[in-house]
Amino acid sequence: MLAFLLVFGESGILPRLASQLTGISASKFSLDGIAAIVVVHVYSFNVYFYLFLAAALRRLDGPQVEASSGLGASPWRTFRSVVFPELRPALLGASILTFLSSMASFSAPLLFAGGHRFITLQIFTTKMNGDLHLAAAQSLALTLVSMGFFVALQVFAGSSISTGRSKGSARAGRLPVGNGVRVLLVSVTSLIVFLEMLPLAVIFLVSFAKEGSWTWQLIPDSYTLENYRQLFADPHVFRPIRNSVSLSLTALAVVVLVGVGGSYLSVKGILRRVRVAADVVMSLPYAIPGTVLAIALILAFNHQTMITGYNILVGTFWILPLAYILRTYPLMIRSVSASLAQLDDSLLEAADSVGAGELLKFRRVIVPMILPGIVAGASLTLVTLLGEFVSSVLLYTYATRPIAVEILAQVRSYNLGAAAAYCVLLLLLILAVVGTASAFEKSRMISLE
Amino acid sequence: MFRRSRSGVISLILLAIFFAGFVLYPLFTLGLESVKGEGGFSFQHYAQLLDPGQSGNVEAVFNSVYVALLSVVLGTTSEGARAAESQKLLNYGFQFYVLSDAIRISVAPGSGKPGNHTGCTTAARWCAGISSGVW
Repeated sequence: MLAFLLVFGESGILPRLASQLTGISASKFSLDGIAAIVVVHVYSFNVYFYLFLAAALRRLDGPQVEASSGLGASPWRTFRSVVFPELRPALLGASILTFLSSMASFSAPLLFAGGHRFITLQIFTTKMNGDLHLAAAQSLALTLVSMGFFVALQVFAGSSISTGRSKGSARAGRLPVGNGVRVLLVSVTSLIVFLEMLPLAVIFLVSFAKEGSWTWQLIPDSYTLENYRQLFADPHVFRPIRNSVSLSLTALAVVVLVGVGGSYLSVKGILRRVRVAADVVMSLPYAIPGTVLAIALILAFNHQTMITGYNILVGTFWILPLAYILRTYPLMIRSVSASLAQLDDSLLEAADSVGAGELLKFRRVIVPMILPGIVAGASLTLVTLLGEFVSSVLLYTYATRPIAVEILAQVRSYNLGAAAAYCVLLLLLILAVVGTASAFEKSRMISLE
Repeated sequence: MFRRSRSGVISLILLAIFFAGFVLYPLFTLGLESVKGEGGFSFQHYAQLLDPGQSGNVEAVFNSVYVALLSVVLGTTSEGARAAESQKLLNYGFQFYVLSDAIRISVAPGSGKPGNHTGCTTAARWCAGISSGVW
């Protein structure tokens, strides 16, 4: 979000560049309000469409495309009648995910909404004003509207989905398009990639900017390592990083336990016969916006309860990992369930037949088999949690503030260099997590070969 | 089998306690608090929520839905173009690359059954990781 602000905001690089070229005020070229929020959402969530469609395209049956061309259909008609119907389920899935994420979006409206009101901001403001009852009503309204559209989208789109069938395994096909269209598509794709990378490059640049040196210039004209030095030299500055890592790792430990246990019970255990219902129930928190979840936790645990050992969790360290756990354990369940579904029951029966105890069987047979799923789920969970903002901003205290909350505080103090340095460090942490997961996968492949 | 064992039942009970205590209880409390008024049970907060003259809640819901729908539509349009482009890329390399990659990634050791452990390629996970983590 900060990167986007630095590129497209009123003081951003692109509006300043356009202003210098045309002599018109930079504010005329900057993005704000609803347009800015939509652009941020498209920027942030298009990865859903990419991943879903890439998977669907891999399954696309090439001979069908070739048959369409062979029968004289134009490229456009082939795309519309053959390719597009096959992509519809993927489009639906990505659309639902994007819709739910957009409805739950908090940081984009917070930075760009201006005078426009958004329900997540309303909840935040109401909570800050101390009216928790109204915040609860607003939270339920948000949940019901999200769920209503979720069901409507599924019913509307699900009724018209049809998929082609062919014999044998699918082979990738070639969509016949002319050179002109090809050049156009490559250009559009290149532009999208450039625009997606630009904010990251700007963040990196600004992280070296000397505080207070970037005022009217197109880009900062004075650079320093001070922003990074302070991150590690000053314990107060480093604290958000330490908090984010410790909160995320604490949550991850429980997420792994709940995720592995829940998915095992659902896929291979005593919930096997009601697996679909169990999956839906256990995935429930994933469909609940982070703001709503935070309000629910505040209302439930701002007094002594039996489940918390008669401790008040609100205002303590533990409320944050709890929110993190609830937001991400469905990711782990999904990931581990996919691995468990491939686990051959005969292996478990073989372990039983040689007299292995349950713990031994779990440790020596099941865990090694589902380890890739656990690692994939854990990396996804960590990546999500390290930058978590939506729940944190309602639950943190000064001592437990995570990186994302600190970045917002720095932006509000106009310490853009420090904020950008935090962003770069967050990015490096995320890359380290993903890189470690990839390295694990590679080493496992090598050992299998 | 583990699924019929005592430890399976214990795991189920622990999971049920976790779910009831940390998922259902907060949501139930949320619903309960939303219908608590000054004099007890009341729908006054919902009346306030639906009153267009008060604090703009209706406008807020409308804006949220409007932006969410726009995000879906615009995301879909740009990805439609990307889909067609990706289709071409598939012709030149993916039919070989994806097949071998998918087999390497997806074969569960010991089972001999192809599947999909991770759901996406390494490159796609890097992109998704950066995107979902930063935003």
